[in-house]
Amino acid sequence: MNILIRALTNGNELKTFSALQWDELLRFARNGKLMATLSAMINKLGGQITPPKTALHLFAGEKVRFDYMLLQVERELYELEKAFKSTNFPIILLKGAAYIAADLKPAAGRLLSDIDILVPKRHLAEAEACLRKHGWQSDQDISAYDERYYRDWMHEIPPLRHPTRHLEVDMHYNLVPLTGRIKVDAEMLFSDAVKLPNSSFSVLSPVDRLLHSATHLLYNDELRGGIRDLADMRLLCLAEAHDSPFWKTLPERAKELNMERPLFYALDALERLFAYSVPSDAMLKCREFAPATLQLFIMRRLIDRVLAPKTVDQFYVPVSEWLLFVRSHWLRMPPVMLCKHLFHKWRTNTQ
Amino acid sequence: MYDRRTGETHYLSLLPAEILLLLENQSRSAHDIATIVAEACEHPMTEEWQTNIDKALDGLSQLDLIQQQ
Amino acid sequence: MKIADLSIRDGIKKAATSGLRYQAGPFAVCIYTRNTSLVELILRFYNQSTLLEDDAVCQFHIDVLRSGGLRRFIRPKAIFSIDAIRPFDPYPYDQAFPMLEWGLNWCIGSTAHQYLILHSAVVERNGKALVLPAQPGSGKSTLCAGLISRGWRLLSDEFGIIDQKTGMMVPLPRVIPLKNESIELVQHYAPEAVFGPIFRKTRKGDVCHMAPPPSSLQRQLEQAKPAWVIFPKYKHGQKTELKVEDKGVAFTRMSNNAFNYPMTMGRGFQTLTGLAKQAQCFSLQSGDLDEAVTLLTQLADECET
Repeated sequence: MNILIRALTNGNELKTFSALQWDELLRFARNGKLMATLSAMINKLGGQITPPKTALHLFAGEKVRFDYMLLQVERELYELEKAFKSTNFPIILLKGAAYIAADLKPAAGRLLSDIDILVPKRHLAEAEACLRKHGWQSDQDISAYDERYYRDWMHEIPPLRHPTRHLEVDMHYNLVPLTGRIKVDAEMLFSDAVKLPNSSFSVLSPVDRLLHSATHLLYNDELRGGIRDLADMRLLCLAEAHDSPFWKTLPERAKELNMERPLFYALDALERLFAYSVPSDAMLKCREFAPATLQLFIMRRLIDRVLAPKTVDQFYVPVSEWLLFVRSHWLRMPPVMLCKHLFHKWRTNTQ
Repeated sequence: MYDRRTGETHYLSLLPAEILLLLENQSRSAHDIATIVAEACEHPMTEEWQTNIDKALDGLSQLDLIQQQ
Repeated sequence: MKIADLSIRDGIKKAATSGLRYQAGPFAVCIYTRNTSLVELILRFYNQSTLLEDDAVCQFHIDVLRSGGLRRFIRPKAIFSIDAIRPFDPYPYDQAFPMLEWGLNWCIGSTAHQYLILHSAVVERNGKALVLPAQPGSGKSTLCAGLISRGWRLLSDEFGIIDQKTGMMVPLPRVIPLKNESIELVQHYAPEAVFGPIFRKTRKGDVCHMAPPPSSLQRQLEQAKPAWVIFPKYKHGQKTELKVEDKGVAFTRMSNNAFNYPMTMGRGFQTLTGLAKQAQCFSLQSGDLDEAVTLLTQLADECET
């Protein structure tokens, strides 16, 4: 376990950390984008931990950033509620915005730069028109190609932003791209969604939330966010008692949504990297979702290397990251499209 | 002034600032506001004055600093 | 222990192994690099800064790397990396020092939000701080260099760091980057000052660094109360004039000038309105460095009497 995972798993260990260990911990936290989370965790432990002055100094800056982000999110959600007042289709908040709105554990210290919402595909045009009517706009610089990429191939429209504010709103109609190998029936997500009190927004059911996190972690282009997603998933799991019906539903639901493989990888990673024990019945069923031995071996090595480097010298891993990046796109797009897409990206980046 | 709810800072000239102060603790009608401010500024209460006040109120409403019912 | 106590050989060794750790204002910085000329410049410019132990916990761990592969030999690049995050494009390898300076600015400006950070120079005289908010063409760095060569203490050329608990200005004395025509002007005005090499054709033109005076480095933990906020504007041939600035306007100008004003929210509002209220606010127009320096020095000395 690297030092960051050790600290997140057992905060009490921090009581005995040496200066060198704190120094290393801060580096891992910055690299894994978990500084604010670490800070929130230490705060919660109260006076039991006395971090070094420099650590406190860093945490103080992060707290300000986090508080500001919270203000922005709350404001954006308020404005979105106002804008969607006249509509009557369900709107599901995803990821960070959901954690904040539903006051879930992963919200503590989690910084986000955009708000993800999910609307039914047949109401997408109406939803987009509604936001545009209330002042949201898309990025002026987006190319026609990228616009098509979002709309036709991915599962969202290009991000919208209100010109007087900073947060972007990403409107999705599915959790996974339409052109990917794995198809998800988005309707199923809506039928299990949980409405938030005093709000027109809903959030995914606890099981769907975990599954979404798993697919986001492994189909994500940006692998740097990886360890953070795994840390979030751990908190979501910890919130469920071992004998909760959550664990019985989880494998079944994964099958319904075609998310078995990502779920397996995620739970497997939680067990191996965070020493977290998934309730045995559930884990047994999930192990049936594992790939063939060789692929499993390769994926595990890659995941460990990228998400849980052992030392600071192992932070940047260009080769593996590239492979996971390609795999990520492989799952989103059929090979011919993938080649076209990567070629286009290469051309625009080198011009 | 700094609006804690939105995080926005606003630079107000005297007139809208006065209006905001008037509305700090109670709601008032546009006519009442115009009358009180006219008195404070020693300005006659005219239709043109009311229009100016209405414009200021609109501006404040757009900035989400007041709510018109 | 000071950086000056380190031999160049030991400094180079530290940077290549456990990291060269030193105090930069309120920040503990750790530099890892095998670029020996970069290390020499750091040792030279910051010789009076406190050298930290090898196990000192630092806020920023910066790697200055050399590009790999074929690029190692053909037009090699210097890469700025903080915990494997590379916030900007590589620079030519021989511009590693200006790259490090700008990179460290980026680190501070994007993380230290417990402070309200203005984009300004800050200097001190007779225990009082003068804040000089920058704008393009203001000549802030030139004026700052001029002032410190005439006895003012350097708190910072780039960052007006306000401690929000006390309202005091926090020192972060670093090299002053002078650009293009300014280089000759300041070298002529302050011939006894220490200057680094001229870096030609950087992203900002020709750049030459003026060293922070040793006394400024020695006193870098001493905060100072701001007494004046002066908005400078340089225009060739302009008569040197100080005009009183309306406090409301001064506040607005500073809020736009600050790097992180919106992020500081209500507290930042109070800090900045406090500063505008408490300090004397002026705008300064000038076409001559010596006249501007003399005028400001007079202003500070008259306050004492």
